[in-house]
Amino acid sequence: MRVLTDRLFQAFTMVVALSVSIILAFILFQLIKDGIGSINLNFFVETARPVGSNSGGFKQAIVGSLIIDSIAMIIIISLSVLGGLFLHVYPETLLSKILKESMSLLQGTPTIVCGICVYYMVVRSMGHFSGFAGSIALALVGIPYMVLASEQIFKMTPSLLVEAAYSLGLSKTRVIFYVILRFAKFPLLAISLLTLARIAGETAPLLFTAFGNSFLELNPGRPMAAMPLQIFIYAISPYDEWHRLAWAGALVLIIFVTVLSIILGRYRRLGE
Amino acid sequence: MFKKAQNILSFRSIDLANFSLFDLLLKVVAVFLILLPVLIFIILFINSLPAISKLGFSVFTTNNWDPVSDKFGVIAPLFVTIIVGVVSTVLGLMISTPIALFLSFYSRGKISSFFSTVIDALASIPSVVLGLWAIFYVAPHIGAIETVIKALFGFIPFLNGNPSPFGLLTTILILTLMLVPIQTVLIKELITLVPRNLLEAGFSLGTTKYEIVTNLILPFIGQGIVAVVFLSLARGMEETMATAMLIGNRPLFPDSIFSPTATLTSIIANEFSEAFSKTYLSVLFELGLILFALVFVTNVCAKLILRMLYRRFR
Repeated sequence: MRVLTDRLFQAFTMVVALSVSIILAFILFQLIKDGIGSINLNFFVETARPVGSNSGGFKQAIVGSLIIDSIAMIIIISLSVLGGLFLHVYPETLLSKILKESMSLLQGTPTIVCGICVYYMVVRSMGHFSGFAGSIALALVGIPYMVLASEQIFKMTPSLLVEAAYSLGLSKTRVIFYVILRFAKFPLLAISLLTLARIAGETAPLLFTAFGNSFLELNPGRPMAAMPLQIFIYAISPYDEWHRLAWAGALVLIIFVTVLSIILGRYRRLGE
Repeated sequence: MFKKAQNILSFRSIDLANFSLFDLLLKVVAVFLILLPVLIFIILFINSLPAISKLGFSVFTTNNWDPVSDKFGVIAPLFVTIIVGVVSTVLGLMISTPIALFLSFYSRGKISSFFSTVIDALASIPSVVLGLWAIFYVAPHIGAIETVIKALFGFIPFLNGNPSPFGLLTTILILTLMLVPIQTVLIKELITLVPRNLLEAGFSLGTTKYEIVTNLILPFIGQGIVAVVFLSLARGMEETMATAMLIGNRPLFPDSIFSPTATLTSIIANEFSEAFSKTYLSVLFELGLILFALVFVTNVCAKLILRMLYRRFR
């Protein structure tokens, strides 16, 4: 009887795990089924077209996402590596404790709140929506993860190396540049890519900052389209044509995000 | 010799200057990063001042969302936000606890890593994509499910209403799916906190895994699960895109669990760019402030509990 209960319980947990996998398989299958048909050359080389022309693509959104995300990543990496270094160099000081708390507070901040704050700060003062404002909003979302993760990465530097460097008479700055940063090069790259995967799918911070655009826009000072934003706009539209494009965009986005985060699965837990 | 000494000196001074400069940079960045959440709070507060001074506490007492005549009642969206968070958290726990147990006790090797990958993949799906999927593949079938629920449990007041494709239930189901991976990972983490020797002592008594789970693991991680509840509550309440796409955006009190309504996030997402008056915009910032405070409180609760746990067991 006891063994039977155990077996039943095992079967129950397995069924639950399996059913979640089946739901995931469902999502992926339907994404591929509905998305693959619309992924062709036009999807990548054409910008949005009015309904009825039965063509059009995601070019402006792909380019916009690339620009917005790379500016955001530049901001995130430069600030977070310095922040992580501060946490590593001055551990257990009051400032670093406060910094850690404020990062976890920022991590918990709803992304849409980041969006409306950047709207007030940047969009209001510039007078119009811009891709640059979108980058800042995304940076606000990405910074806390990257700061906490990079601190954990710096912690992995073997203390033997650091002590050897100090014993050679190197200054703190040089130890940081020659030992700690050099040692952390690849893990830092990995968590940067993970942060990129995390912010690439964020839509809410872009709603009132980058705003979206139907035309190709290369100037980050102007309103810009972005992949998740374009998917959202097309998904809530009433036209079948746009729905197809939304599926195709979602497929491309998810391939990018999921592949990145599965490849780098080893580093995934850092910074959470 | 003099030259050499000078060389060393100058080199030192450069080095010193360099060092302090970099040090200064680190400190400036640290202070800047610390100020970010403070800045967010200040911006939200400044912008919601007009609404607070004009409407005062009436936003918490009126139950009416009518921007044209400057009537804004936040009880309904606030209530719905909390309901959506709570229900999807509870449903999520029912799914994620068995999965976490399965991953840590009933599977190993390739099977375990396969299901871990599944959980990771589910966690990495952007919410806008999940929303898109739900619009086309969940919402059309929700009506049928709701009719069944209504027929079976219609005597319970909140379960008796007109089925509609977009509404509370759809949102809750999708949010559950989003919370499952987060909760699974956290619960798995909690299970590793259970002392190894306790487990081994249990197994050496000849108990089955089921008995270990019910008598040892679950009581042991009970407090931790409360923290998980708070954490995923925060995640559920702040979720924007899927909610905005699925909840129907009708800022009224829901008649039943099927009816379209609105949360704090969905109102901000849907109405922010259409706010026509100063008070309207300011009220939306106030919603942001309320949301910020709500998520802050739940996150702090979770942090406190987790910290207590770690202090006890580590």
